[in-house]
Amino acid sequence: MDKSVLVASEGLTAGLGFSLMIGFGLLFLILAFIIKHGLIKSTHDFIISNRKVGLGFGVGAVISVWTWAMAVMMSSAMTYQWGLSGLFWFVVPNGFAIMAMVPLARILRRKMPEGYTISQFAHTRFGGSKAASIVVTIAMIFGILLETLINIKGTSVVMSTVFPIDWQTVVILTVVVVMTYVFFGGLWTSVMTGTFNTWMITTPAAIVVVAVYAHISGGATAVFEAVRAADPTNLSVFEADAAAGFGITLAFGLLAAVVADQTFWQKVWAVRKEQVTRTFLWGGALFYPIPICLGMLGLAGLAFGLTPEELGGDIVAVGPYMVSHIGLPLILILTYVLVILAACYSTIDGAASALSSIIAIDIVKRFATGTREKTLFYITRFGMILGGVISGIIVLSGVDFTTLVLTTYALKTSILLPLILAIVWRRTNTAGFVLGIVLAIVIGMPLRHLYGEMVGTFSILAISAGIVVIAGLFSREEFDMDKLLEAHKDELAHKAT
Amino acid sequence: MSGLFIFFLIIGAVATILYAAGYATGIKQSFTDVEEDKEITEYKDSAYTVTIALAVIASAVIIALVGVNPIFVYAGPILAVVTTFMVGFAFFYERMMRASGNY
Repeated sequence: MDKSVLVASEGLTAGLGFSLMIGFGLLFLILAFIIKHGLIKSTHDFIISNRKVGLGFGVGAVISVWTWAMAVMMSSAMTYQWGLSGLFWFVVPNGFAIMAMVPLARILRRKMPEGYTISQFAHTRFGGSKAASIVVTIAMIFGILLETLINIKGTSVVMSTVFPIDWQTVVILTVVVVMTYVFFGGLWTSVMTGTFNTWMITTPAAIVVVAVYAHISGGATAVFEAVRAADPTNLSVFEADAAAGFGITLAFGLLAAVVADQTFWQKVWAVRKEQVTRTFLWGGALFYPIPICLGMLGLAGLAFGLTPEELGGDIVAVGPYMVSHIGLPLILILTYVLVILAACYSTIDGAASALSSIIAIDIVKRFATGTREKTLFYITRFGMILGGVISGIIVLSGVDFTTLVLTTYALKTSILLPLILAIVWRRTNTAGFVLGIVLAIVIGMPLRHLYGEMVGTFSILAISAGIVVIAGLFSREEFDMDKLLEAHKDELAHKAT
Repeated sequence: MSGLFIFFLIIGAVATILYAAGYATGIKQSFTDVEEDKEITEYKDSAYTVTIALAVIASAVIIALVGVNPIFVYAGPILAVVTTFMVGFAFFYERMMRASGNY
């Protein structure tokens, strides 16, 4: 296909970029004020939405927090890099990871109806063990920081690429905008703005993708023929290279990213109990179309034979490149930018809300039990803001995220199976849980360094689960799951529903 | 504008209208729920294994079909609009459950 038709669109001014970012924030701020006055009276309301989140907001919020800014672009990038096999391995485990929460969520919502955080579960499940709860809390905080950093970074890359805006200005503006509206309404704001963002990343995204194909001479047929002519394996989902290259490790990484993430556990306890199963089931199934739809931009990039150099050295830019170079009307390019902004804002505000629950329950209420409600409310909200500011400073400092990514990867992967076992297997005990996680990191991470990601991931999973099982079999003790119910009566002086 | 693009604008608009109506209903319902503080005690947890398997298989098949015939390039965008529609429908579905008392 003729690459010369791909020309950068004009009219994308800095003023337009600022208007999109601030306008979006102002809309959410208005919503946050309405929420603050009608729904938020205490820390309980702020961090768990009175446990009254219904099915619509539950599904919308789950989809939006799972659709990271990078995921919007990665689905195109993986298709561009590996063909349909790349899209297959990127998409299939992604939706499954959300639905895999269903059995675990059902158990904990029934056994611990007044829960707030997964670290709180670990604390009670392991008899108040500080080691167990601290390791889970640290893993959750690292995960939240990483989510925030990556999405701030993703926004700054896209906005500074599409518009003539300094990336550092984008970072500051993103933190200010998101933290402002989430400060007022907490989780309620997050689920309501997130649900709005789910609309942004579905229908407008679909219209943009169809418009891109409508602007290609010959449409989908021409793209299909060009991809097949260049390399027919790119139209197959059975290429083993994609599975070995990233697919298998990504599948486990995604599972850990959900199961070991307070962003999702917070929703388990915030959604009305009769809607928990449907929320995660519908959320996972309805998430699938988003990356499949956006992956088609990568296929178009393949058809044009774009090179990474033409994309500025980063294949993640293939989606934005196609949208901004195919000759779309300005309104559709701006729509695509809003799709990415929506994905970014919803993930950051979801992470901020999750952090607020950790601060309130796993830090303040655990270590300063006598804290008064009013003080707790302030600490929770300002702590959440501090998390956003720290993330912004890390991005602005330009430091390499590698250490944070590796630490989070190690913690989340090593926690995944011990946490699942703690929920489903009564014989899981404190020693096995803590030792399993520690040894999995100590042995698994060097193996990952020496033999690569796949060996590392499987080693961490095998060691962590193996030690929990061995410890459980050697001990005769069995945890009575009904103790979870007793342990959480009235944590924040509110009736459970 | 191609016919296909216009078709997507129309189905997108229909899904958006349902979504907006559902969203407004959801906000109203949330305020009522918090005020009333009513608790649902009787509900059944639906089965999930088959649904999960079907969703995973369906996603895999749709991606595979894109490599079989170019028409399936549009399957993703159509399903994305279906997601909009279904999230909007979820608000009304919950209202129907409340009305019937059948959770």
